[in-house]
Amino acid sequence: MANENVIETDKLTKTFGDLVAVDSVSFDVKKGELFGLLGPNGAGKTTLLKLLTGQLNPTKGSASVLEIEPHQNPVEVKEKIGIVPEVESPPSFLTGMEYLFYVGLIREIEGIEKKAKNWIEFLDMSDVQDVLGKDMSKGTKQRLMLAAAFIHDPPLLFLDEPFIGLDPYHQKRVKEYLLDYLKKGGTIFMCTHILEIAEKMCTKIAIISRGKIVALGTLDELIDEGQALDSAFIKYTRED
Amino acid sequence: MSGMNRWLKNLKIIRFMMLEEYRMQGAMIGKFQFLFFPVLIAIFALVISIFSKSLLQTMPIDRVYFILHIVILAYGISVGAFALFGEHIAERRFGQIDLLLTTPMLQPIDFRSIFSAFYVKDSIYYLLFSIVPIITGILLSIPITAFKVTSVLFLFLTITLSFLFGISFSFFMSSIYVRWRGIFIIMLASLLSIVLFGFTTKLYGIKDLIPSLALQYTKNPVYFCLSAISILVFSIIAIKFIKIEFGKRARRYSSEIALTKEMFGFMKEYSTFVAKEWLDMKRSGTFYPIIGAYIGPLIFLAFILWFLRTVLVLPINFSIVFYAAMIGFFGMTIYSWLNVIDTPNFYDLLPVTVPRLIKTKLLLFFMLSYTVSSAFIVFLSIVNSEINLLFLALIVAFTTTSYTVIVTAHLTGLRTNVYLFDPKILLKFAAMVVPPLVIIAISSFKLSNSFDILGVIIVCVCAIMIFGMVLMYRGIKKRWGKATF
Repeated sequence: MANENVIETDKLTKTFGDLVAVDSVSFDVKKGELFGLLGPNGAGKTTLLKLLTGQLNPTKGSASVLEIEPHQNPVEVKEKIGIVPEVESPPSFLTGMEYLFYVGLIREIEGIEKKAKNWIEFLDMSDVQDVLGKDMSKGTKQRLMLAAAFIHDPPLLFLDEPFIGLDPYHQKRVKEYLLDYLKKGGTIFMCTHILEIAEKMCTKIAIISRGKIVALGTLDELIDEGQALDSAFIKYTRED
Repeated sequence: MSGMNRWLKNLKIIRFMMLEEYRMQGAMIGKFQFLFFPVLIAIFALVISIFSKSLLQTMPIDRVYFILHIVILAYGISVGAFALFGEHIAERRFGQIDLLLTTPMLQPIDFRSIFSAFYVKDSIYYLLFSIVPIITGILLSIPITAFKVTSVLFLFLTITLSFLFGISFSFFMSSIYVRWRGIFIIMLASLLSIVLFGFTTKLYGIKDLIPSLALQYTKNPVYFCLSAISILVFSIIAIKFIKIEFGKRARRYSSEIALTKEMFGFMKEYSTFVAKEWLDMKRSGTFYPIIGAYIGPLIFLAFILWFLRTVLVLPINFSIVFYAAMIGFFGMTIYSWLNVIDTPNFYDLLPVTVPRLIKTKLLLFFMLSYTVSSAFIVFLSIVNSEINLLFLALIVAFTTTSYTVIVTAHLTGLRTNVYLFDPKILLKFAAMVVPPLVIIAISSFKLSNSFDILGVIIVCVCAIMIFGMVLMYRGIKKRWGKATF
């Protein structure tokens, strides 16, 4: 990749009727970064993630993900990325193991059985691997969605509140995996409410409020000396 | 809580559910389209009423009442099988949308109360959406037709009772089916025996089994009481027996997806997706209801036509080619069912397009419907001694089935149940489907007299339908390519 930017947006806008959900957003994410998108409820985080992953078409502006325009080529983008949605929704009538296998068949992953077993073990799902998606607990569903997003070793991950629903042990496991993934050159775009995670893990942070990016930079650039991220978050999201 | 307060509470819940239904439908297809649907039915009823004079010259009013009540009763039966799908309605009816129906999971109210409210709400909803517009259309025709207002209002009462009788009976039978299959089969067999016994011995007729129809014929208030009591008894028993268990035991299965994919290997690049749909159907327990929802109307149609020909002795020659054309129309039911088994939202995360899933469902549909429709046509051709028409009937059945479902898929994608309530879509559907089916149906009536000419006409219509369906099948990619799941 020539400029090392894996995500680029230019005045990206999405409206739903009169509501401007994402308002002329421009930023870029470089290879190897963990880009954290923070914002209050309804600020436009999930909409922005959906625009970048080809799940929604923009009203105006443009976006490029791994040098592909997601709204023009949503299938091509999804072949290359992994997505963890805000609401965990595995298919109701496939078991956990079957779902991973199914994802492997769709993505044409070599050695899918072995990979699926590894992920089942890594995320501690051996005892629930044969349970139907509809009968799983929230946390199990979330772990399954994480495994389904990671299983094809994508170079770029889009994670929408990936730690919600996970117990502390599994949060730790996932954090460790993500940090290792970054070390190996992967890139992450993550929407989160958990400021502590953003503080500890993100290499770049954007704060979005009412559809607009109101702050963008590294943690040090965003907070004043001796201040915590929550104070900066409140400052940026309340002052407009 | 006192009895009165409980009633008031339930009424408020029903009100909220009505509001929920209105907002949900409005959000899905647009409020204007949603509200225009009953207007369309009223216009249709108005037109039929205006032209009813010539119909009434050839058919006595009692027969018209009979057909109308039977059709409305069948409509009630078709929408009333709540118990079959109780927990499916609660869990997946609208994908990610949480309904008030799930309130018992979090609030101190038992599921039977909330389901009773849901049942009443759905009954009111269907009445307002279909029965009321029919009556409105007939009432509006009065300046031209000079129907008596009192007669029309009395008809409103009796068809409402027929509808409620159908919906409550279906709810009752489905609740028995869910709990005790054996008893259900015995009850169904007994019912059929009672009907057949009545026909063969002439000791009683259909009107004696449907109190609302008897009320229309006799105006005797006893039948009103009988109707009301039957509806109440069916409903109360159904509510009592309904089987809903939230958070019940987790079901476990050994991995079958690879084997199932292999089984559907002949479907090439669609085998993976068809395998998933097949497992959905098998594990959700919707396989038999789907087939039943297809065969049911076919048997009902066969019965009605037999009744019109044998009992009412109408001079119409229904051949198996006519059934074949009608089969196509009912095939839409299977496709519609295939779209509500599970929410496809997770596909948004995968490199899969909506057209691919539509085509997967079409393939599965063809597999299921061709099998059932072929068996039905062959059976009827033997029973009716029309083996000479079998080949033509099979061509018509395959063509009309494929054509109707491809039109449905083209117009409604994966949201058939929602978009078919959009009057614009419904009108397009009717304009595309009704004319060729009517031409085939009318041609089939005189087929025995001039087979050469009418047979060629039917084959030509089929050829045009095949041409149209190929174009529409190809157009699915363009029409739905940008859609999300």
